Amino acid sequence: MTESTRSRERRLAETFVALTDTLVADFDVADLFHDLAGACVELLEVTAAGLMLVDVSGRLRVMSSSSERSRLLELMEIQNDEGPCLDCHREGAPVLVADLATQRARWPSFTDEAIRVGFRAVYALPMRLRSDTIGALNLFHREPGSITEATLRIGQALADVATIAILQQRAVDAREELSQQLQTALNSRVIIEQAKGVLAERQQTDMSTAFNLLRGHARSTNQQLSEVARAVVTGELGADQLRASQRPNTTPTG
Amino acid sequence: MLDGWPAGVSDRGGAGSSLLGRICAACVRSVPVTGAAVSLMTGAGHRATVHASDGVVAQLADLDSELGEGPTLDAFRGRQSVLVPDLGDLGAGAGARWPAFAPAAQAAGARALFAFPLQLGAAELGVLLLYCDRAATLDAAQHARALRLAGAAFLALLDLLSGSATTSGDGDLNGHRMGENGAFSRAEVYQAAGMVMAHLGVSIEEATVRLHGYAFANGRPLIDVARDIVGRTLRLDDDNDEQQSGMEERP
Repeated sequence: MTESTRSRERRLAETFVALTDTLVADFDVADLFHDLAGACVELLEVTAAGLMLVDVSGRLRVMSSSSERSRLLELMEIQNDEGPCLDCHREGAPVLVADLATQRARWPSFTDEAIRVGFRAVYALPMRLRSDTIGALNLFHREPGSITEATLRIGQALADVATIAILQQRAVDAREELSQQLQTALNSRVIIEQAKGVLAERQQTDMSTAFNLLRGHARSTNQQLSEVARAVVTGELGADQLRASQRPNTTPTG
Repeated sequence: MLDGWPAGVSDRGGAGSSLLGRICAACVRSVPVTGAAVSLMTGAGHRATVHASDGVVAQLADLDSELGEGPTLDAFRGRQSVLVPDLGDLGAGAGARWPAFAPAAQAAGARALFAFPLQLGAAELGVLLLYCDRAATLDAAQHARALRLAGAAFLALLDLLSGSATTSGDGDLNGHRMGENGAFSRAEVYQAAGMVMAHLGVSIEEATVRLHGYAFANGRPLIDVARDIVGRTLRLDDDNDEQQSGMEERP
C-alpha cells in the first residue's frame, strides 16, 4: 500500500466520521451539502463536484457546487434539459462518461460547454430513496478516464449521505412528505443566498467573503447556517454583530 | 415584511388575481379540495384575501385574523405547512390548538384544512389555504401538487405586487411563469434581492418585489438584472424603482 493510498484512506475515514457526527448532531442541510461537494473533490480526486435536488415541479435545482465552473455547467444542463446529470436523475442509475468527446451526439450542447470550460469526464450518481430518485451527485474531471470501482463506491456512499441528510433535517418533521422535506432543503439554500446578498452590500464585499462571515458566525455561536442567514435577512442580526463574533481564522471556502 | 400596499391589491378582477383564480381552481380540481383561497400577509398581521374560490373559504381566511388564531396565521408565522385532516377532533388536536377557530371553522362548513406559506427563501408573501367539507388527508402526490400550486401562487402574488401581471390574464400556470422559474432557481437572483434589501433599507419581500418589477418594467430577463446588481453595475434607486415598478400607483 502506497503512502498516498494510506493517506487517502485516512482522510476518507475522517470524512465519514465527521459526516456521521454531523448527522447525529444538530446540522444544517445546506451547510452539509456545501461540505459534501468539497469532500468529493478531495476524496474522489475529481476536479469539481456538485449536488442537485429535485423540486416539487420535478425540476432539478443546484444545491451546492465546489466551483463556479461546475455550477454554471450544471445550471446550463438544467436550462437546456440535456446532460448526464439529468439522465442519471431520470433513470435513477449512474451515468458514467469516461470521455465526453465521444458523447457529442447524445448531449450536443452540454458536451461542447463542458469541454469548453475544461471538463473531459463526468460521473453522475443518483441520490436514491426507496423508489424515488431525489437528486444527483455530479463529479467532473479535467482528464478523460474511467472512474475506478472503489471511487464509484465511495462516491455513491457520499451521495447516500446527502440523501439521508434530507430526511434528517432538523427543520422538518420526520412524518412530513418527501416533497416537503426537499422543499425545505432547497428553501434553506435560497435563504443563504439572500443573506449573502445582504452582507455583500452592507460590507461592500464579495459573495464568498459574505458566505464565510455567515458560516463563521454560525460555527462560533453554535447555530445553524440557515438560522443565521434568516436572522440576517429578517434584520434580527446586524452585519456589525456578525463581524464581531467571527472567528479570526475561518476556512476560506464558499 | 410588506407594509403599506395590501389595500390596493385585492383587485379581484385584475390580471394577476385572475391567475390566482385559476390557481385556486386548479387546487379544487386537481389536489382535489372543496375550496381554496390566497391571502396576502404582512408582518404587522395585515391580511387581504386576494382570491377565494367560494364563500366558505373566504370566511375561513377571514376567521384567522378576526380570532387571532388558526392555520393561516400558523403557516405564515411558522413558515411551514399546517395540515389538519379533521377539525372535528376537538379535544386533543385542532380544538386544543385553536379553541376559538376550530369550532367557528366547522360551523362555517370546513372539516379538513391545509395551509401553505407562500415563500421564497426568507421572503414570505402570504398563505394558500385549502379546505375540504369532510375529513381528509393529503397523500404524497396530493401534497406535492399542493406545494407546486403554492409555488405558482407565490409567483402570481409577486406579479401582482410588482405590477407585472399579464394584462390579458391568460398567464399559463406552467408556461408563462415557469420559464422565469428557471431564472428563479439561480443564486444570483436571491443574492440580488438581498443586495437590494440592504441598499434600499427595505424588507426582503419588498426587495424581491422591486427586483421583479424593475426587470418587468424594463423588459429585461430577471437573471440579467440580477447579474448586473450582483456585479455592481446596476443599483435600484428609490426614484427609478418606484416609477418603473409601478408599486406606489399601480396602473
